[in-house]
Amino acid sequence: MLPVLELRNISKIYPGSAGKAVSNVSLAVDKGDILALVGESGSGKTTLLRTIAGLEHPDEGSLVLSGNVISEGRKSVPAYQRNIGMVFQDYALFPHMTIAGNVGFGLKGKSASEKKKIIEETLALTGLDEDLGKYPHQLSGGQQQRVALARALAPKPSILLLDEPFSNLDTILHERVREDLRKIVKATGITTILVTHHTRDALSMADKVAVIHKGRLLQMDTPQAIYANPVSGYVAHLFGKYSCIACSRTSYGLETPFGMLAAGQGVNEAGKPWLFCRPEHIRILEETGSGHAPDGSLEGRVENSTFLGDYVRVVLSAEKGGQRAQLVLHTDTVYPPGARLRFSIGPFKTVDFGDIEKE
Amino acid sequence: MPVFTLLTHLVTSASDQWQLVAPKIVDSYLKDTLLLLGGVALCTFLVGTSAAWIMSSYEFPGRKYMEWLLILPMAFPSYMMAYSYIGLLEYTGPIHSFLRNTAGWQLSGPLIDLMNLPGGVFIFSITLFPYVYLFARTSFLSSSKEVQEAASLLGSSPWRTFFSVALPMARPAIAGGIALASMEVLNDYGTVKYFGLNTFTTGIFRAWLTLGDLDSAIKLASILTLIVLLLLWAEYFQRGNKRWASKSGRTAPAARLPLSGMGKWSVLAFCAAIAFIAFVLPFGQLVYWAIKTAHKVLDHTFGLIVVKSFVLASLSSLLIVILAVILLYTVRVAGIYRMRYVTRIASLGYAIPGAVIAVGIMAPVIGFDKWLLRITGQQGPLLLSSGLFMLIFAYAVRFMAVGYNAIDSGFQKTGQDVNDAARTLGYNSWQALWRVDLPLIRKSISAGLLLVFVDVIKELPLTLILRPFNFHTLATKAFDMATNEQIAESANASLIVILTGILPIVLLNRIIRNNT
Repeated sequence: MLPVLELRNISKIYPGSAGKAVSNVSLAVDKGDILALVGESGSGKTTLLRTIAGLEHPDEGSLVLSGNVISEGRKSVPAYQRNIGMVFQDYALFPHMTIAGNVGFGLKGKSASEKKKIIEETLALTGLDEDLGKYPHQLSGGQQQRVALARALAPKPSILLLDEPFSNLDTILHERVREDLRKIVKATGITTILVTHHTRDALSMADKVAVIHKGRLLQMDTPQAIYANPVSGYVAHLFGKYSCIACSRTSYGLETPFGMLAAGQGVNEAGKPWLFCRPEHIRILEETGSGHAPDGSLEGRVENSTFLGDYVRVVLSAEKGGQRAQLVLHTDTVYPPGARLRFSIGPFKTVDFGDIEKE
Repeated sequence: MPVFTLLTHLVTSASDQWQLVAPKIVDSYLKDTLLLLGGVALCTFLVGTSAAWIMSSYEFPGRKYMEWLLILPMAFPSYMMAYSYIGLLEYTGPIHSFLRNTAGWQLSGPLIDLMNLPGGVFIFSITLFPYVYLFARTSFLSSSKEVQEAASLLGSSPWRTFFSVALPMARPAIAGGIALASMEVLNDYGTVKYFGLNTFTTGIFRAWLTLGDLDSAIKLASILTLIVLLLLWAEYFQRGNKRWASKSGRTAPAARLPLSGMGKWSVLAFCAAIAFIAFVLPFGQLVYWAIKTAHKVLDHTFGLIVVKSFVLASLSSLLIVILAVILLYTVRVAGIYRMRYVTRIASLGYAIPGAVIAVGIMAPVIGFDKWLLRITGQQGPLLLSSGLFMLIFAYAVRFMAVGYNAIDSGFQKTGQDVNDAARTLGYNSWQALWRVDLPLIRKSISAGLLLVFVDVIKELPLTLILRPFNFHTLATKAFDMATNEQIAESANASLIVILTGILPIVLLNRIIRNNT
């Protein structure tokens, strides 16, 4: 199946700024997929989105939408001829038009009754139940967003772009909108690209996640794969706490400052011996009073533990042969500093992150 | 107070003269005034809005200079523009001479007769379009570019985006600009008098200065006040609750589209033509005259007039700014939340034509003087009404809004917290004002002083009515000379007024650019 949208070696340079805003990005989005572009502010993810929309012109590379080249070199199809829907961060509703006027704006050349039907259908789809004669300023933030979404969807665009769709919502609304948004988008079957700096949104909403850093595409994969198999320390860090411990290979397996880990589970022969694991993969077995752990088990000393509501974050440390290491894990008990804990590690792997020593 | 005086007069008894002439003159005054207003509104809208759109959305060579040149006509009081253009177009003027001598045309009589209603519309439009231009440009620059991008993504062509999104969103600002321009037209006396147009302002002057009929003057002023109030109300009503300020700070102006080829040059030519007609040409004419007649005009008396004008303007602006600071600060400290009404009342003065304020002040002050004479039993000159007191008081009424708005914006930017902090540290509220607020708003204070100063220097109708006998400012001197067919000689005074006026424009443009 041909991808709906293809970016080939897209680069964008802003005059007067050092480095490229977008640097040689190539990616493809399959039909019906939701792709999340994730990155810190200033990473170039929004520039990339605006380039797709036609609001910025790439300096290099080409864009292919539904099999048609829409941008190549200096030639590009202007934004208003691309049939791309976009929901802006601040919604960008037309303040002087009613809900109906906003949603119907992109429906040119349709009869009034046809327009009315599409407006009502789209608004029903987005779940907005309001008087169509109201103006944007009479609506709440969440309602405005639904109008903006309906406005973008009404002309049946070939692709939908969402710029930071959750940035203007409070925490409670945030989660509901995230679920609703995925449902709505999936119901229409429209291919969607969203930009966000909340990695949680990306993981929970998207079918594919693309990590952008300093204008470059670092990794693009499914949310599970990105979380479990990041290509670099930066990517690993972006999606949550993790531990990365230097260790050495022995005939039994891996030797860490916390003790010996049996080989087999996740040891990558090719990788340099750095152990990578997420906090929730560490299970506490018991609190021990003694100093030394029996062979084959792992033990560490509690540096601190922080109560965070739904879990407690514990930092363990250990020292062996002058090497100090720290582990982060999630549990449900607050331990006093200095306590000694015995634990096991579930899924882990050895990695070779070029960009980070340890966390 | 002046407004109140006038409105009470509107409903009280009328003099015989008034009853006799009222229907006829009001009719003709109303016709000329409204035609003039309509014409100026339309022309300033077309010129101002198109120039603003070009400036805010396109990049072309010389754009930065054009940005400047297009505001400079504001420095021209419209009557000085009128004198300059009459000179430019008359038989001995440069255009006429050029066409006769160089182009070899056979011409007799004036090239274009400006001394009529369309001529008036032309003069007012080229001096006042910067109001619309400035307001529209600010609105175009500050309105969220995302909204225009959204329209574009929904398949709307650039033209449709302009007419269905950008223009309607700038409507309140454009209407505000047109309202200001209209008020300037109603305030004007010099131009309409020179062109022989019968507007309410000329009517007030004729009634008061020629016929000595204060009562008729008041009646005319009352009707004019009603028109202004109607304008204010219309402006307020149409703006209504449509405050479309973008919520977030992400309102970076849309990148200007670089133009190339024909587009580039035609846009540049359009802006250059406006700038040439509205500033370069008339300014050049004034400079030429000023140089030619300098030896005749620049003498001791003229120097005295310059000094007197500047002293008068300084005193007035100082008084206004001090009053504004005290008024605003008291309101702030007292925590009165009906600020909006205070602002509204204070800004009313700027909307009321100078002639109306003059008449509105004169009536009660002369009454007070007479009462003063009666109770003191003295014989002699009228105390308040004969000196400069009445004039400065009138300036304060008319230009309070200018100083008030400048100081208010300063206070708003500073915020209440620093003042609260100072008072928790043991300063009483006046010490806090002196030590904390005033140093913080000193820029606003200087801006307020400068703006009022220039307005006073330019002000003609108010000064003409209320000045003491034989007292001249630069404005009245220029007016006097021009009406006595000494246009060329009037250029020296005009030039000083205009050059003073350019100062705050530089300041204003910088403020606007910093804000956007």
